[in-house]
Amino acid sequence: MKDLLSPEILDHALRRLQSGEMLSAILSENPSVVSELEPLLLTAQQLENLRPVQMPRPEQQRSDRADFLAEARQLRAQAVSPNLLMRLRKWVATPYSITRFFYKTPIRKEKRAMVTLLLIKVILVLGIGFGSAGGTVAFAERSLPGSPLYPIKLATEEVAVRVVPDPSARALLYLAQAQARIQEMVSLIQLGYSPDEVMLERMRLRLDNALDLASRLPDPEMRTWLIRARETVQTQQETLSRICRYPSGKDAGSTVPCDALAVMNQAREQVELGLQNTQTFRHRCALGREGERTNDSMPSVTPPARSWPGQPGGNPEGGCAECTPQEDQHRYGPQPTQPGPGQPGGNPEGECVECTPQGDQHRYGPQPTQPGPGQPGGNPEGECVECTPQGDQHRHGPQPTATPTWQRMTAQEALQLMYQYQYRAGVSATANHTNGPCDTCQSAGQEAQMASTPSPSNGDNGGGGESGSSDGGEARQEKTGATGDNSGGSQSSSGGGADNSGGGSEGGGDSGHASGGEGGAGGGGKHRTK
Amino acid sequence: MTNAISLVLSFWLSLTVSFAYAVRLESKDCVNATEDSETSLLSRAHQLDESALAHIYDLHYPAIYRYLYRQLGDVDVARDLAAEVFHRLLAALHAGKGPKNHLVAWLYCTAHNALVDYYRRQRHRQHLTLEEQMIGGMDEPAEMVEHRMLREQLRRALQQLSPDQQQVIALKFLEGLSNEQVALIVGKSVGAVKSLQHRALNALQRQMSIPERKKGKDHK
Repeated sequence: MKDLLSPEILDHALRRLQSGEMLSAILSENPSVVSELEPLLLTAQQLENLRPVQMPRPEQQRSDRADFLAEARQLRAQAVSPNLLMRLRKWVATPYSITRFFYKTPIRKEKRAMVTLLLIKVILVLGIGFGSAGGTVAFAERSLPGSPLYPIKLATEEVAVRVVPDPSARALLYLAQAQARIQEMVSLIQLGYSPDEVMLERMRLRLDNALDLASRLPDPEMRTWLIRARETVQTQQETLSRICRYPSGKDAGSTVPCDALAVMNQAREQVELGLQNTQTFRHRCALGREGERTNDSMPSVTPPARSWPGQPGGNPEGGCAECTPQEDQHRYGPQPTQPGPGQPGGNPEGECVECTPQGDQHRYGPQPTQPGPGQPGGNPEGECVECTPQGDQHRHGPQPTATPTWQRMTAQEALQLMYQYQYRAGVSATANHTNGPCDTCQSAGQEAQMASTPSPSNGDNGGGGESGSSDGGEARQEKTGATGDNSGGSQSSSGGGADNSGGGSEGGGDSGHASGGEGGAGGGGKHRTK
Repeated sequence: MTNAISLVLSFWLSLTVSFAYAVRLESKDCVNATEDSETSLLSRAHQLDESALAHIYDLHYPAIYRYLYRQLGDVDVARDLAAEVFHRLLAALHAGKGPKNHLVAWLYCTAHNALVDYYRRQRHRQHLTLEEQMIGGMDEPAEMVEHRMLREQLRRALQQLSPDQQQVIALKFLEGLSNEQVALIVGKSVGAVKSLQHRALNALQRQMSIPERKKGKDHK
């Protein structure tokens, strides 16, 4: 049987042939594969004819060598690799780098060129990125509400405020942003558009934040800040008053500029107050924060949208510039669906200038289970005609669960009150009611003390009435204490208010109104004891 | 006496061990020195050091030229392709690539690629150069023509082989490299090289027999 020629046998035979053995000898040792092996070995022998080589002439060799070395020199002169990654890899593989243990490739390129190219690319990328972003922000700075870039402007302002670490500078920034909102209003009006409530909201928020931050500054810094703020606010007041007096544009009847002016007036008063008495300024702003926290914890009371001073259903005084912050009155005011100041069933005065908030009554109104002013068992004089609205009574009014007697009395007496309040509203409107100084409150409290029967609880409450008018913080502290005492204290002040109104019996008769409900409800017992 | 004999034996044994250790160290040092010299040479070449590149050129150019000439049979073309091989070496070194070790294998591989590219560009060689006609210094014109025709036939037959077969035949039978060296250059195992060599010789033998069969038919 004929064996197959394996590669091993062939290789062995070829090695022997190359070593100089005779072909016949090799074939004789592999008789079974001779027929296959012989032609292959002959072919391999024939290949020997190709081995002779004619080398180039020496001058040609020298020329070739010189060309090669010249090319090497030229490449060395370029001295940089075309591949950036390769160059970077070489750059990081410096002798002083730990990467030299991982990259065996030696370094032959200058590092400066590699770093330069890399830096150029990085700078280009960063420049394009930041340039486009900066350009967008710069364009957004000139945008007005309604523009697609306006949200960018607002976001930029927010970022700027967050970036500034100094509270004083941040407060100034807030003030400048409020100023910017006013300028936007002016620009919109000049363009024939009318500013909306949202702009007013933004402006007020920034003012609040500015004042809040300023109230936390040390006294010297605060005074400096307030002086600067007074100038700014004064300028904006002038601007807004011009717009308010001479409205123009398509929607000339818009009340937003005038509302903004009212907010700015309030801020001005706040600033002036801070310049006169920094402690009071701090305290009031702290109370404002506390009030906001309280409101935040009671979402059911929070209306969907805020109403503003001067707006229907809003706090006519607005804010807590002159009076004690009546919890969230200054923010929410009476609900639009409920009687507002001057409306039947609403708070006739709609302000919080004369008395302190009567505990939580201003939020929840008179409880149905308690006799209200003018009600049987209630405070016959428990109205609040001379004092501020008692919390949110002007919003909530009588509770729907009130007894039929309460409703009947309210309906009867509300009409009388309406006439009375309309009369007073006319008087107060002409008197430029700007939340006078706190001595008004003090006098009201003193009169309340005089009018009420001295009693252990009344003595406390008289103090509460004073403090409530001058400093809402103390009134609030009392409010959080014993409920009975607080109600008495409130009642005493409201009683003083009733006396001040000059119509004791009338006030007593009117006290069935919801506005006097709180004070009357608490004080009713006292008057009964009297 | 016994102590003296044991002392002499121990002395002789220690001498022997020391000598063997020294010889081993020396041989190892020689290997390391060779590897280190090639590594350092390549390192300098990567930095485009002129002296290192000149050394590499002087060391390997003749072999590469011979390899190319034996398959081409043309001095000018072999020179051009050899220059192309060293140009590729420079370009690779400049790009940070190129051989990290086994420079000879890299050069042979590059020469083979250059040859294949050349064959692609010029399918058929049309003429033989004057230099090749005078190879061997043969006096008899008939013998000279016969050898020239045989070489031409061999080269034509080689060009009919696959690139791998061409490379193995050239390296093994024209350059005289061992199976291990060929395996290193072509990137295959020694066994694969032997199989490739077997198939290549069979194919070459078939290609060489085709003209003879044609001649026989023509004679008939």
